Amino acid sequence: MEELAPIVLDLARKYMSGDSSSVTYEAAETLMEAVIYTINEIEESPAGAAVAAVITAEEAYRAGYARIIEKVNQCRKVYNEMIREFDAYENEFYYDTVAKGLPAFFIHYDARFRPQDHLLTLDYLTLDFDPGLTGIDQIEAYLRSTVAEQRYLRLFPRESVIRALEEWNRGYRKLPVNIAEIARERVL
Amino acid sequence: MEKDWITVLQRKDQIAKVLDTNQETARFGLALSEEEAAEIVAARDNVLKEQRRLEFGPTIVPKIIYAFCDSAYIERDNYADTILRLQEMFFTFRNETMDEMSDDELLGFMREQFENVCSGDLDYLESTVLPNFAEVVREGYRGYKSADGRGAYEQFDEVKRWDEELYRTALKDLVWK
Repeated sequence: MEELAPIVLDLARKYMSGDSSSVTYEAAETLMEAVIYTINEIEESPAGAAVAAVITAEEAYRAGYARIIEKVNQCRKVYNEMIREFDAYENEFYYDTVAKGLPAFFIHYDARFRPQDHLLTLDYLTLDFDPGLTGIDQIEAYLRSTVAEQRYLRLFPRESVIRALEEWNRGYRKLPVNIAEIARERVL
Repeated sequence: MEKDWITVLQRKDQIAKVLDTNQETARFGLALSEEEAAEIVAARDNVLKEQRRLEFGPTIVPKIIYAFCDSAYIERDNYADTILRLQEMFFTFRNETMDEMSDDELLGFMREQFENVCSGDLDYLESTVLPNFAEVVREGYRGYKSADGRGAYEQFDEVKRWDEELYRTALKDLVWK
């Protein structure tokens, strides 16, 4: 943990941007979490453990930060492709989370000072939603699931899906339910 | 053991930086002894702990000293105590203003009010002026940003301090009656 101190210190100076000589414990803790999250990006990558063993904490931090930026760019690309044909099947939670929430994430996500914070409550839960994931890792997994769900839903005629949802519950449009799960149970 | 050494060295360095300010403050007849500088640095550690803050890099104390050393209300006798109180207020109100004000804005504001509205009264600054202003900052007021915290308090001051009309009436009464 001690070797992370200079990295946190450097990050804190950037965070304060010359306006302040001190920060709250809470802000310092958030910065420490940011550094740990960023370094974990390298340690958890395919060759991560081997790479992390031969580089310094500072190098791991820099590499981790580059990986986060790369993931954000990749996610944005996947999102832009997916949203063109996205269908919420008139469910408000699905629409708000994917069509309104995710674009806001790409605008406000702070890869340097709060990479561990994915900002969204993700009210529409995908089937394999993992509450343990945070930051860009959560968004990456969420997008992967959304793309898979949309692909699956498109296998059925839209009217059949809507009918199945209405049969399940006429108020489904205002309920935080997983559309794909109901479609699987009712349409097949 | 190694950590203790680092702490001792850091503290010595901070005391030296506080003592360095004597060169500048001497022209105002102010100087801190080594003992007083050590007391200020020790108090800084305590107030940071109390306010749950961490200071990175050089301590704010020299900045506080330079901001206040030419005050008409600080003399050799109350100098060290005044800096101690101002340091405590500074960190307390960094938190109270939720870090919305920068170091320079908060110091600029404190200095101006200490000199004018408070006439050197630290209790008034701490118990009335700073809490009043912190409240409006928390509510979203940012008008102080353009002038580093100066000229910002008057509109929020609950006490009417100067009534020109009343002054002229009283003057007329005195001179012409």
